[in-house]
Amino acid sequence: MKWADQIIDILSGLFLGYGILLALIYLVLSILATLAVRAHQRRSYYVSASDVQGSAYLPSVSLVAPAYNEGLSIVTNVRSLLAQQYPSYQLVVVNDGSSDDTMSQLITAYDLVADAYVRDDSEPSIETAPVRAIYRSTNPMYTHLTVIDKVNGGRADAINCGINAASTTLILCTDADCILEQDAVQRMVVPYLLAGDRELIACGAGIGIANDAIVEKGILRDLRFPKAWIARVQIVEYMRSFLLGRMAWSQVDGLMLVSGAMGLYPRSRLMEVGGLDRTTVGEDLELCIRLRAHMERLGVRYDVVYIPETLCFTEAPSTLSVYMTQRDRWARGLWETMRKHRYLLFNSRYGRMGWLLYPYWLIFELAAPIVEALGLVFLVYLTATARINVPHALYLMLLVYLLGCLFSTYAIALYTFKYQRYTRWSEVLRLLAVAYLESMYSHPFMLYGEMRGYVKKIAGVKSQWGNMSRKGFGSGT
Amino acid sequence: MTLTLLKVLIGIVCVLIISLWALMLIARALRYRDDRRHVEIRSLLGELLGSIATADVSNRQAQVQELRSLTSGVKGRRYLIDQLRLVQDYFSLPHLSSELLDRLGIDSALVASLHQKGNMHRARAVVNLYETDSLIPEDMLDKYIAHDHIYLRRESQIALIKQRGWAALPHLSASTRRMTMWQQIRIIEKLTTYFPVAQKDLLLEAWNQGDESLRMLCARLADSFDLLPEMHGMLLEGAFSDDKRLSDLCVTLLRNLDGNLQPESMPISIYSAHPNYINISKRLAL
Repeated sequence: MKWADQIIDILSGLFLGYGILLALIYLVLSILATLAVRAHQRRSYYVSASDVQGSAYLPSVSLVAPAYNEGLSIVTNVRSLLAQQYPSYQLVVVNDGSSDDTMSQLITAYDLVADAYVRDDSEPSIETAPVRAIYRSTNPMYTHLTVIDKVNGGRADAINCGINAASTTLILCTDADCILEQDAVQRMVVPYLLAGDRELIACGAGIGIANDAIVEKGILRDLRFPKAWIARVQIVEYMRSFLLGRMAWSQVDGLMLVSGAMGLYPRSRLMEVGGLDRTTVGEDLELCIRLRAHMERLGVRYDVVYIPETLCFTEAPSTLSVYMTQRDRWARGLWETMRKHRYLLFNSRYGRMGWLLYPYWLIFELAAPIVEALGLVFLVYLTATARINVPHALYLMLLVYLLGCLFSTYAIALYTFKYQRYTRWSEVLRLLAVAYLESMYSHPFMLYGEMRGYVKKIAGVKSQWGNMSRKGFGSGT
Repeated sequence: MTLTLLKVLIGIVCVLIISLWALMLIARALRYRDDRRHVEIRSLLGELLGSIATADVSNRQAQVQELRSLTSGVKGRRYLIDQLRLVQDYFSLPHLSSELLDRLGIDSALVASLHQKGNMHRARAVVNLYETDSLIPEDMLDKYIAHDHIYLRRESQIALIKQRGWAALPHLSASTRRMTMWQQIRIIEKLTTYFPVAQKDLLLEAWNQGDESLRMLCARLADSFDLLPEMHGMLLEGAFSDDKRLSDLCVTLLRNLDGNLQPESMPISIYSAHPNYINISKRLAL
């Protein structure tokens, strides 16, 4: 049985090495995130959202918001998207063949009438599912609004349709179920305004959780702490992911993902790459990687930037089953994107993308759930065969748990100290409690959801969005 | 991994977590203190600006002293200037803030900051000086407009325009770094506010420097000062530039000319050898 012991030793070493490497990476990311937040604050001294608002000659922006069966909240959410203070913007809502009353609600609430659709043949366009009609409002209050009614083709197809219809310099992709801060567009364009030698090709911002929040006339009035535990967990997850992960990668020019719910892109670059990929459910990640690869091929210096402020609020899954469905979809999207862009691996033509970023995503994002699941199986095997050193294992598990708590605490501290959300002590304490219980409560379900997504990909199941039922936002009295 | 090592690591992580809790407490206390100080600064500022406006400031020495002590540190001074900038934005009363800064001795502190070692301090001093209508020594601006530090370079270029107007425009090509769009917007704002009469010859001189981002600024200035119909030759040259950002801007501006420009007045055929000739002429609908 000597060879079996040797294999176990090797496997133990591999799992341990992976864990140590991951902890070190998180440590480095935390330091980088701190530097990035500091750099962002320095920039803000020179250009603030209020400076931008009062300026002339700003780039025009189109908010493109796809909507599919959003009848429950579409009127409120479009009002939120229309409440932007930016002087030069248009809102393009794309009804992606909804089977509910989304379109009729929009027509009634915003006095929409069908407009003759004139396609500009001098500009190229992205291929999409057929457009049924384009609507504009007869109400002078909603002159910024354009609604496109089209045959169902998926989220990416709907956004592509919006990009075709937009005539602005910049495109801000969001979702019709998102509530934006009123100065969100002003803040999002700042990195574009500050781009110098390097061209800005994508800009993202923090996403917040607005379950149980009070929304009045499309404006977020009271960001209440969600009632559902699983939604609370996602507040901490988002803080960790956006503030530590993405800010850190942004600091070292390594950001590969800009969230689909809040991503700003130059329209001309989107047209060059043919818009979003309709064949994947991870279209935000795929777009960002494709844009980066495109710029590498062109040999043009570029930036993908992240803003630490939370500018967009969305309703997070409030049941474990919807949560697992979401993670299942994210896992499939990641799998599809990594597979599609496998040519990047160690490809020197793509510089750091080929040598650092793609391998990182492969080893520490795509493979992480697989390694974790295999680790659990290995642990069960060691326990069953009495090959485990119980005190060692317990202390190691405690260390891993505490490391998770440390990074979560750091993200919460950074967020609550720097930004004006969840600043009450009761909220901070609740966030900490959620962070410390997360690994025992939601993490196993997340792992299950991700593994289910991978299994579907391996089994060749066709990728679908999945059922993401929502309750809608509360309204003030 | 030995048990002792694991225990030590667990201890370290626990200490770090507890330190973070302590930091959160301290940060909260500091924020509370700063908030109170800011309220005091705002209240004194309101009183003093009012008394300067009514020429009653000589009777307010106690308040001047109090505000001076509250803003003696870098943080306090920065907050005061931010508030003054807000006041200026809303009421356009720059002389009030300059006089107050003078009385508080902040003007001289800002000029002294220009000589500090940190580029960030210098850049902040430059922006605060030009935003409060104070003069910056021109030799310093000449030195800083091509500086490596992005903020110092950018703010010095804006300050130079604010002080010298159109005459400074061709000098902006001294920097080999690209001008940001924000910088261009600020320069346009300064020129339209303080030097509203366009200097076409200086604009052309700046265009002929050949720097792409300076050309973008010239194109935007031509648009802002309604010079596009007479300068479309310049824009056409920009439309066929290899620089995508300049090309896109010039194409957009030319397209915006609509009926003001006839295809026959566009000497586009001289660019027929350009690799993007067909694409750009299609976009220009010529």
